[in-house]
Amino acid sequence: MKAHGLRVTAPPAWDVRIFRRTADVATVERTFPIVHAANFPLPARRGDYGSGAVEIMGPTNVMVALVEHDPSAAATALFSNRGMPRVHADDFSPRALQRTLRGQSGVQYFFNEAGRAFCLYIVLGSHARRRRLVEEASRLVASMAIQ
Amino acid sequence: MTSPTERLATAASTVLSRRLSRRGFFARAAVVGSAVTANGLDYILHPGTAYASVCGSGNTCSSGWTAMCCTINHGVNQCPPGTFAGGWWKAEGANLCGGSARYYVDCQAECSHCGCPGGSHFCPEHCWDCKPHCAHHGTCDERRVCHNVFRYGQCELDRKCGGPVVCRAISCTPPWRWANCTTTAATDNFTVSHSAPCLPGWSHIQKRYTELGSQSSVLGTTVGREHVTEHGHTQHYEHGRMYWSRHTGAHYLDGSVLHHYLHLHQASSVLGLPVTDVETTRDKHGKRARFQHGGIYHQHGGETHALWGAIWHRWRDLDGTAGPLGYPTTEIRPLHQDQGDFARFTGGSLYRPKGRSPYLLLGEIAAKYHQLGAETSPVGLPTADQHPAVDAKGVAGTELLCAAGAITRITGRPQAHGVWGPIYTTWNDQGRAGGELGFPVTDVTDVTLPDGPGQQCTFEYGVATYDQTTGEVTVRTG
Repeated sequence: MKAHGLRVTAPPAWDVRIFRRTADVATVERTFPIVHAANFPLPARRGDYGSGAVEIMGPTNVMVALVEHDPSAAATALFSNRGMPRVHADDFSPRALQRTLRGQSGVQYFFNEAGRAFCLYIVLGSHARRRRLVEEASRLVASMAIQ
Repeated sequence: MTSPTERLATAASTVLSRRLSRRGFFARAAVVGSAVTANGLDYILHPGTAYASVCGSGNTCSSGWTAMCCTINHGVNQCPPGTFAGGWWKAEGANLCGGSARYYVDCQAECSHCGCPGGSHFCPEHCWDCKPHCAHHGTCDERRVCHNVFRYGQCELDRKCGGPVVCRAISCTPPWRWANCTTTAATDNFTVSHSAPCLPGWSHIQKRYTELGSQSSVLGTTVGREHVTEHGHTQHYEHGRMYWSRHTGAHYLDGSVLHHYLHLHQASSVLGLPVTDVETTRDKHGKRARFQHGGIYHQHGGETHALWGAIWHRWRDLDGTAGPLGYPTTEIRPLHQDQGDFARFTGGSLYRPKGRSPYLLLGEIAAKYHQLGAETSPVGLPTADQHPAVDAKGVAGTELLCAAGAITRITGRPQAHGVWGPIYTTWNDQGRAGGELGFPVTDVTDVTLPDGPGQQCTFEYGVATYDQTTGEVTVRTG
């Protein structure tokens, strides 16, 4: 799947969406592309960091969100790490979640690539099974390309 | 016109009012209104207390969401000390923001004890200044505090390293207007009803506050929720308060004007509720706010005082702070022996004998009146405004007629002078300044005459002497 300068070659059975929300014309807010990918069917209604989806995750499920920020952020300290991160099981924590749900585990990386700023957020359905689930997540992340 | 949620809140409050005291009713009505605003029909149709519903969905610790800052920060809806704005998101169509977007700012703990290892963006737990816990502060907002290690990432981008989210600050105004955040939007509509008893619901006051820019306004952030009293509604802010009633609308007060209003016991005072915000005065040398029955006025670098009633109306007719009286230097004060009231100003005074209009005293005339003892002086209370006078040779001046004397001043002379007693009676009978003596150039003074005590006053064209022994007033001219 390819859209908004992002490409994801997901394994079979993964549900992938690449979208960009409409900005509120009443303000000067800006919106940027978002990738949601999961090894389970994504619900239609989701928050940018997967709320709506994480609540229905089972212990074998994985959800990946790639959220783009304003390109000007690429030059800042927060986004100063370069290139798509390599995901390690030891990076995951049951507390590293937007919404901490029992049993789940998460990780978040900020980085820049091709002059664009991104946040990669991964949720695993089970912290106990993180080593196996990270392999799945890593394959998905490795299939992501920023153009 | 009232909204459907307001009508539902009113109906629910009406039922409650049958069982509650007046004070209890006002407090309960506010909670019900908030519950309906936060959760709409959910609250009306499903069992549960209004109080729990105020906090919206996912309000328990195990729900995994983060608590509101006001819950853990003494009611103050902002990032507490030791935290910084780490990012924000919005929920669209929020009842709590009148149907518009509602904004949430995550306040991240600072990593004061150590930094983030390697390329990580979060410091380890032993570096945190806070301990993970649930917000058990006796309210329904029992969400997590200092627990979720997550960052939205649109604020304080120069901070690469941070701790967990301590709490959430809320606004109906986009965060980039009041915090160091970018305009990059993130959305999570699942949080639309998340609230706390210490956050204001949507109301006339909240609508006005939003129009002013919420946290970016002069008021700063909210402190606690709206209070309902028999006079109207009040919302506290970091730097002020806002008041609303159906008759007066929503207006805010801050600075010394607010301080003075609080000193006077707010809406229960003679002033009533504000009918304007705090505004710059026309001469731009001060601040003012008008109320239902008066005003509070502050001169930059000077004092703050309230005016009301007949004196306030007369002062306004005289152009208020931009007029000859200028800014008040006293409140409205009662006259000796309840003879009426008065107020002093930078440029003079207004005296109102009971049952009469306030009379105007300006400059040196007012200064002399006060020097002589004002209403307890031998000239007594004014019986008219000061007004121009001319002597027989065309010399111009001003005179203030009082119950038992007068105070006059020749134009251009530095001082005014008072005339009273028998000498005043004689001078008055002769036509005062227009008579053969002209304007006084001294006050009436006590003197010792060959046959006993007396009084004397020197005028432009002569001297008047009162002999207390004979009771006669002698006039020498030329």
